[in-house]
Amino acid sequence: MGRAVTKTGSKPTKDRSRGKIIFAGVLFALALMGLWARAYFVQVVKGPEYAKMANRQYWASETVSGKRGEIFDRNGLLLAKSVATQSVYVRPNEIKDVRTVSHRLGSILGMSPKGIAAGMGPGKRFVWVARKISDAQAMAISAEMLPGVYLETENSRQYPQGHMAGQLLGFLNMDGQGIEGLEKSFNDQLMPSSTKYTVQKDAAGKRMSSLQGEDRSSFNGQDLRLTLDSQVQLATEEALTRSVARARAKSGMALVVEIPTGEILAWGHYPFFNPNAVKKTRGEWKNRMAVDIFEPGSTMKPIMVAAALQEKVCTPSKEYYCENGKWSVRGRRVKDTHKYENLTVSKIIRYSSNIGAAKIGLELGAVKLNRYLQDLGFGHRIGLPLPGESAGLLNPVKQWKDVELANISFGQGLGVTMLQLADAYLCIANGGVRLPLRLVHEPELPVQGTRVFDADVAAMVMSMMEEVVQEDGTGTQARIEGVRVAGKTGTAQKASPTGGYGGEYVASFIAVFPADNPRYLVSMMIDEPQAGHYGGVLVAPEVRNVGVQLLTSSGMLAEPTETVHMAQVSPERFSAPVRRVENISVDQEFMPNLQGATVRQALEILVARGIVPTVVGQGVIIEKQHPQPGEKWPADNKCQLWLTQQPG
Amino acid sequence: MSGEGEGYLSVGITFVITIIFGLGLVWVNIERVDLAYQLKTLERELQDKQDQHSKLQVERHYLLAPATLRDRAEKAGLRPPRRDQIRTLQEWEGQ
Repeated sequence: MGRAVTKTGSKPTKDRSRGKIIFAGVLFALALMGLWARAYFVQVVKGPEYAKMANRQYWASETVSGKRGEIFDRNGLLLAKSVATQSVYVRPNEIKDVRTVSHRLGSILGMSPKGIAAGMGPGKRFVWVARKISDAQAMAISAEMLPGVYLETENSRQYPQGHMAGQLLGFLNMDGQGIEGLEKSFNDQLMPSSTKYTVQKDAAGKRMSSLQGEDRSSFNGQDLRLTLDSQVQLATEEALTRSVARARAKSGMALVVEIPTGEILAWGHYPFFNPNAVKKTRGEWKNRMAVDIFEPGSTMKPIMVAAALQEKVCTPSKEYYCENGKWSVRGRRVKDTHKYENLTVSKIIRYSSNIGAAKIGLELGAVKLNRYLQDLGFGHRIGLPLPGESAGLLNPVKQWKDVELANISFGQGLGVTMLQLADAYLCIANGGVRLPLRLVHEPELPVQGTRVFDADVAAMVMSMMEEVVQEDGTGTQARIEGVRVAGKTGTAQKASPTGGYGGEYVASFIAVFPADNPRYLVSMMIDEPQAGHYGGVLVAPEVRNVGVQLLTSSGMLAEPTETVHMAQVSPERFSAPVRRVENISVDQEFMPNLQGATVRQALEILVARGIVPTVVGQGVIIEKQHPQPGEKWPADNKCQLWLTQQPG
Repeated sequence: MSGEGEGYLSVGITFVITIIFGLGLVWVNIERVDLAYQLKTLERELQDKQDQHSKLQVERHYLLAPATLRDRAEKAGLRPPRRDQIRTLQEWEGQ
């Protein structure tokens, strides 16, 4: 049986395409699923994290803040302003050659390279080298392009008037917060606000404008306008300096107040304090006018007498026996500088008799005197916006025995601030109405006071204080010719730390200019004078000088009647005779002859006529004029004057 | 056939418009970024000028300070006027 063999040729090919397609499909499906899975992982699982990373890379938060408010005097003169300054810091981990960098920085900043290098200790990532450096130093550091050294812009407070009213203005700490004076009191008002913006960054990390930034000035702090007058302040500080120097005193204070409004025009301390250089001072920044208390001495007498007059305990003409200069109140000796017998109340003030004052005080009684002292603000803070203002020291009236009452009557046994004393005198000078002292210029705020004394009582006390200066009182050195001045001297022994009274004094003088129409109150005090101790000698002359400047600048000082000595004037300028018409009058119908007149005289005439002339050339004498003398007054009010140095 | 042609045309026009809008969007973005750079530069310049202005104001007020003026006046040989050297001009109130 043979096997049948069937020849089929080649073996038939198995069709695997379907499998391949399925395989490829599965592969693609897996790949697609992988991509989807990856997309899910990236978008959903890691999405928020990556979104944050992207935001960090492309968006940044930027803080924009304004500048601290400025402080001005009443006339708009700048007292304090913040300006942008540079501070320099280093990132030590970016510095390879610490020695070179510290030497370069040291030579620019005037610092010890060793000190700078020591600050860049290991492990530190940020170190301030110097803050608020000068522009020149910042430019020099920038030009050096030192690795790891950076500049940062900060605000620095500048006081362009230097030490002027330095203690009052106060100063800021390194972080721009007010820590003394008005800078502290008005910190909230002066502080700038800030806001945060989101800004886009480019690939290099450079920030682009957000297009939503508001004007930076809208974030600035509010400005502050004070009642101080820089001209008066300068005159007061100069007078105070002279007074302290002449008396060889330890320190001094002076205050000027505009009586009708209670506005403080000058606030001076000596030694000065320059808030631009806080680090170089040794406690001069203390605002002693508001913080320190002292025994007022004789300056308390007019206040006590006002209370006695108000209570009708006495009249100005009532006499008191002054015990020939020595008296004893329950074993406590009271002395006068001179031996007086009978003195009227007026003369007790004029000659500043302690015994007379003690007797009036004892007659008035503790309760009544205490009430008036309280009404005048003693024992309470005045309420000015100042940090650390003292309330003074006034013991409870229950503790007042005869000795205490007698002492307080002539200004011992109580502690007052200079502000409290000035406030009490302001009340007397203002016709018996106590006004709040003001430091912030708010002209729209009505002046409202509280009546403490009747107007006639205040007038009587003013009259007594006028006698202190204008008669043979203790304040004659404050006289100003042509103006009536009222004042009171004060010479108080300082309490000794070991008890009792030592050999140191406080000399003071308070004056009112002019007495018949009170406009300015000037109070000055010097502490521990070594060249004498009388306020009438050491302080009154300089208070007078401040008064002269105040009255001159306000046009209240009449010209002196005596012949003015011209010896100080350079003779070659004014020796030549002046040829001009004798009587030039603005009422003339025609243009007067101004040739030969001084510029000042010509200006007076023309301005009175409403003409502001055009001046040609240099000099003080009118050489020629247009319109000519005798012509009609110019209808268009135009006039030209030619000047010359010498009269023709 | 004409309906099919209109369909292609619409797709083409839409494509072209999309491209134009896309390019426009890119151009606007580039302009925005460019403007942002310019603004940033101007902001910085303005800030610098304002800082400079502040410093000059401080300097000006220092020079105008009564104490500075007095020092300079004294160096120039000037003195405060005596009382008899001061004239107060009354304001003219018209005829």
